[in-house]
Amino acid sequence: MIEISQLVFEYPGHRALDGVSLRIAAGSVTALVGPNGAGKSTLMRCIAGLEQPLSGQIRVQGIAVQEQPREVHRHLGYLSDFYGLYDRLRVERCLQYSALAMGVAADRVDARVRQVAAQLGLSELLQRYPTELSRGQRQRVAIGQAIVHQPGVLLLDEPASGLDPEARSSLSQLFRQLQAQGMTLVVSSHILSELDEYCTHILAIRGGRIESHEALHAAAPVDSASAAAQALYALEIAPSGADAERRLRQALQDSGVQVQEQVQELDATGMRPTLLWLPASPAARAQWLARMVQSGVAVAGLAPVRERLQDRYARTAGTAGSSGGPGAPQTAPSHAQEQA
Amino acid sequence: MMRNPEFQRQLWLNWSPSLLAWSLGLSALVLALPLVLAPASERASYLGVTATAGLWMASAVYGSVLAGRSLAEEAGQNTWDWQRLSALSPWQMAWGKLLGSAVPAWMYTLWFALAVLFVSATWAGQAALGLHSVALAVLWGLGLQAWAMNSVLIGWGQREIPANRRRAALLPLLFLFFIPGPYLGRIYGSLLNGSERAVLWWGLDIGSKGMAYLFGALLLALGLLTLWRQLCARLDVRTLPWAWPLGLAASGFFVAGTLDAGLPALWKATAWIALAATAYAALQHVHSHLRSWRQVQWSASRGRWREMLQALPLWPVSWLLALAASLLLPLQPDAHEDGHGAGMVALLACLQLLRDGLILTGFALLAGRLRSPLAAFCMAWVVINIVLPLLALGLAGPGGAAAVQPAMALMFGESGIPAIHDATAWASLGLQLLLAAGWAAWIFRDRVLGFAHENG
Repeated sequence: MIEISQLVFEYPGHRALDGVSLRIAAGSVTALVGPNGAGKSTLMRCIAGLEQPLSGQIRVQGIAVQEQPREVHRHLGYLSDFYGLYDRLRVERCLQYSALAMGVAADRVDARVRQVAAQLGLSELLQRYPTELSRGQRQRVAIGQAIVHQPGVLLLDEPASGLDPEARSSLSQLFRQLQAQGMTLVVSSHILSELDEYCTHILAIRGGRIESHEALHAAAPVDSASAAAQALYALEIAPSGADAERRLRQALQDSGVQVQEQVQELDATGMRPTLLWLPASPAARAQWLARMVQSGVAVAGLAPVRERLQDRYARTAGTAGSSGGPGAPQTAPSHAQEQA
Repeated sequence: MMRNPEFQRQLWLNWSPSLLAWSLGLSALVLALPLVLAPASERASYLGVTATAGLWMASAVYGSVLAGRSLAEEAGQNTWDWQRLSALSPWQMAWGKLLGSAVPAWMYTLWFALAVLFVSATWAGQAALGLHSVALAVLWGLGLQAWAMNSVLIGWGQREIPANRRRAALLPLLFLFFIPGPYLGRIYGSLLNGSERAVLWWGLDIGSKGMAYLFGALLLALGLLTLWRQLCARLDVRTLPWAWPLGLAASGFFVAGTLDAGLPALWKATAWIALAATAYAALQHVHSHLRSWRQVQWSASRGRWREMLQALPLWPVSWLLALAASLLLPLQPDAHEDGHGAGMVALLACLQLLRDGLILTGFALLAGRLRSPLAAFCMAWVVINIVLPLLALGLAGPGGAAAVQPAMALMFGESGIPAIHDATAWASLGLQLLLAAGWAAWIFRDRVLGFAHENG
């Protein structure tokens, strides 16, 4: 759907994207995360054909962006961080113009405008001017302009910025709807907890380089020592005496699994589950579970858990930081927590 | 045209039934003034002057302000990204904005045009005069509106919003009304006095009105070509660099026609216009040279020749045109006696501009390392072109200064500066060119090839 190879982009005196290569699958919702100045907006603008990279290639639905930017726009919608609206046109006209300018056939424009207005809850606002709308309503109009031509790819740069909780919630619902319709979304945001609700992939970028790009539902991380796939599980323990915590700690140590929390924070009271990285293979996991039961741990339940986006980002950034590679500061996890 | 979404949007913005009534009412009010204030015997004449003035004010001045504003408004409302994201071609965008944004001005133009036609047909008894007046106002009005949009786009530069956008919209009006005084003088002389002096263009007597139409057509054609090219750049649509040299060649052809001196005048006019354009293009795009040359190198290294040409900065293109015209100048069998001398001067000026272009490119490639490459170049230019010749003048007399600045010495050879031997001129400029090329190549190796090596 989106293929990028060796993309380099420079502002005067500053390299914003440094050899970025990636592939975003059709129908996915990718959270584009990274600190300020990491290159998120620049990457999106390059994909949208709004910036010309120094070198490298971008293809959207097989069309080369640099060679056919106007053609690509028929298949792509983009909501920029600092979008504006045509203040002297009514909402209906704004949507009609966007549809016509994006190549929607004239006889389909009105129907399409009504569909989008209904989808975004704008039907009552069609005869209003954008200056008469709230920020959330303006945001919906802007999204309407970006999707009115039913693009295959939608890029959203900080779409929830400045919105109240209710508007953010409806935005999340909308993104899930769009994904269900088969649209590929790339969403940049600092609010990781919201991205968590609908994203299928995380693309972390830092210093103009891709730090990680992985599926959120996949069995990550891959242990570098054993190269065995793992997945996150919640282990529920039944309260079973005073030394329950010691037994649990010992059993976990013996089994060699990775605990999501610090070991000191293990809870054997049954109040909250312990998050563990367990083998993705069912057979290996069954073996591990049997050993735990044999060790005297009162296992009440074991359920797969989807790793939170902010934990994934913090862990990825932390790994990059500890690897000592360039542009991977050690403070990344705490920074991510602050952003979340 | 209604299939053009941009034109449709401009109509939504600028057209309303009330505009019809308002424009008619205000125009009638203005036209009533001479009828009320002028003596009875002069009413027809005053009405004609008022209607003509209103016609030009509406089509040229008000229309240009509206056309410029249509682009400036995009920047003010931060909606330009939507335009860039649309699937509209630069031509659709150019026509849609040009014709749609000035609809209110065209409404006023319509009422004043009707008044002009009425006065010329009924009181002056010269219906043709009125028709020419209206046709010229429409032609020139469209041309000036295109240039008003161009001036906003040029002022836009690399920034997100154009600087002094309102002032930029008025710039072409001032420029075009004051610079071509002789042409406008002929237009008014022809229209008001009915005199038909011989006005030759490429040996044809096209008359004053013909010249006015021709100049208006050139203004509109170049305005549209420039508008299309500027919109291509603003919409990130890459194009081969044909529009720039074509516009320069057309300008040279037009100017040479008015000089009526045959092909040598064509080469001479083209060479000097292209040289001036080279200097303009190099300075105007100094901030983008590094990016452009890196893209050129990247495309060339992969054999993508079309992309390479699309990324090429414009100044080498117009420089090549100037060089070609300079080389053709002395080759004309019917060249004047000074054909060789004029060709030599143009050729030396070409080489000197190439030297300065290379120096400018060198500084431009240092973008990011120098605070202001343009300021650094200006200082270097002053040193090379003014300080060094003055030093040479002090040390070795006029001959020394001429050797350092041979092109200028040849150009002003009849103004008291001692003549310089051809061989000395070539040797001096060749050495300067060699040094400039060597320096630029050294910087190129570091900043462009080094970049390619890092990203290989």
